[in-house]
Amino acid sequence: MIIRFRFLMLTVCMLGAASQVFLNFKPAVAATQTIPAAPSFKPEAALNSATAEVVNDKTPVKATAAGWVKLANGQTAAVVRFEIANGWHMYWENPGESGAPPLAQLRAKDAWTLSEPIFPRPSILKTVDDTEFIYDTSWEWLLPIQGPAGVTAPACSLDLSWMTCKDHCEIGRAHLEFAAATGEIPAAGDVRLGRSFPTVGATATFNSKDQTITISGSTSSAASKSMATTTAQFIPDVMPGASLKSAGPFQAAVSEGKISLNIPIEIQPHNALGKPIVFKGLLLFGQSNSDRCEMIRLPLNIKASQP
Amino acid sequence: MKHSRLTALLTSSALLFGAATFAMADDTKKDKKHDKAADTTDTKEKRVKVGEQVPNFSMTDVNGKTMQFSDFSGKTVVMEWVNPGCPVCAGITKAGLVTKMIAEAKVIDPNVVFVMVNSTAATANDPKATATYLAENKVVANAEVIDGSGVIGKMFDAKTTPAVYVIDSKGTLVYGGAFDDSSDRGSTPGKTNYVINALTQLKAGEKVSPDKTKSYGCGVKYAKGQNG
Repeated sequence: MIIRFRFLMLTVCMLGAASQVFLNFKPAVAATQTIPAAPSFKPEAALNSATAEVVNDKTPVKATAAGWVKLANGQTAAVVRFEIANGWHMYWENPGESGAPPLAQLRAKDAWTLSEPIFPRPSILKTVDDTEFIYDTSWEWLLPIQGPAGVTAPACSLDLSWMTCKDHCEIGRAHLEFAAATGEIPAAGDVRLGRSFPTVGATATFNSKDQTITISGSTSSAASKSMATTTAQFIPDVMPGASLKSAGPFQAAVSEGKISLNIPIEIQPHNALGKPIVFKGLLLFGQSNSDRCEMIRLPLNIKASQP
Repeated sequence: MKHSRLTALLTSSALLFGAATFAMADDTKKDKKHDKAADTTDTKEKRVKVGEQVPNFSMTDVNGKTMQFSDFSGKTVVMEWVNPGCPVCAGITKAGLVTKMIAEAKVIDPNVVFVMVNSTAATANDPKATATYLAENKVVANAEVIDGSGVIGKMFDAKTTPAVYVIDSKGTLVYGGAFDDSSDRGSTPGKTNYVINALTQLKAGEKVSPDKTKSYGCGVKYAKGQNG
């Protein structure tokens, strides 16, 4: 009897002590979560070895003219290659909660114009302070240049500026000269150029009751069609007039090529700066920068669901 | 007999220890729940959104002087987040866009109050540097606030420098976001300075529009330990 009672007391004490241990347990929290960045758009060993020599904390970014490529729509684009020093990063077209994307101004003869630059798939940098969409390895920026019919890839120059950050930020500038293309222009690699693959047939429904937008449609990715079920991440682009309740990324369900995405959002037409409200962003498949991504771009002529 | 008494004593001690341990654990649990609730409440109270009343808060300026937000009661207040180490913030400041904004604002509303706030941990630890930065660029504000703990920045959810916030004379946050609509993050002045836009609309008795834009610039890197 006494032995049983002692055993009971011992158990009680052990439970008490154990509860203290559990209550004081604090899970380890990673302050910074970075989705690992893949090698650059077209990784070249020679480029990487050169990068270490030309960029450092004093000159964290170097921009070079890297020729011309032909896009899927037949346009030609000047390629700017950025080399980034270790620890520094540049920004996607939507930098996230802070930062700024690079800017380009075309200097060319006649009626040549620079249309919307094409940004490759970025990495996601999450810190306790904010979420940013970044490039932290060498990357290539495509600048489509339009000119008179029948003329492609002219001699021109570009004035560039960019923000680059580490523990502080700096503004970099460069003036690049592009020689006119000679011979056949190579096709752009397309895996990371989401804009070449708009999502087909997507629709947006806004539920005014819970302030959520539902995107549904079909991906153009053959890979996702062949897979029964998978997930993808959606990162939003800049959308004046549409205010997201968080910076993202948001999880999207992909099943046999059909995507489904719910995002808490506030529609604020008075903040659209006089422009149509467009829901846009990148759907990221896989975790690596070399994995496929697709662009979602939907004018929000929203069909509001009944509350 | 003695053995039985000793056993009873030990057993009682064990029972008391066990009960005390449980009681302490329960208290700890309650305290943690209470702390969590308090934290949540605090965070909710401290985050101010456009259209909401700004609660009173304390500010410490570059000279260590403490003041209250309520000291500016009845006046329209413009708060701009600054960081001498940010090239975007320095760009618009050195270009005279901040002094121009203040001068234009005073024409619209002579009583408008300007509060410059530095919440970036790396530079907020040197108040003199912030004061010198503003003085050298001829920025004359009603208050130059050092927010090294990030409490004020978190309250307004300030993400970048420069980011600006306008609080009307009734204490309602009526605008938050970008300094202007510059297409190149301030290198070229935008056509619309959003503070001037808001003050003009307030004077005309109109609703401020836009009341929220995406601010550009360097991220405010808050002191570690401040939960966002």
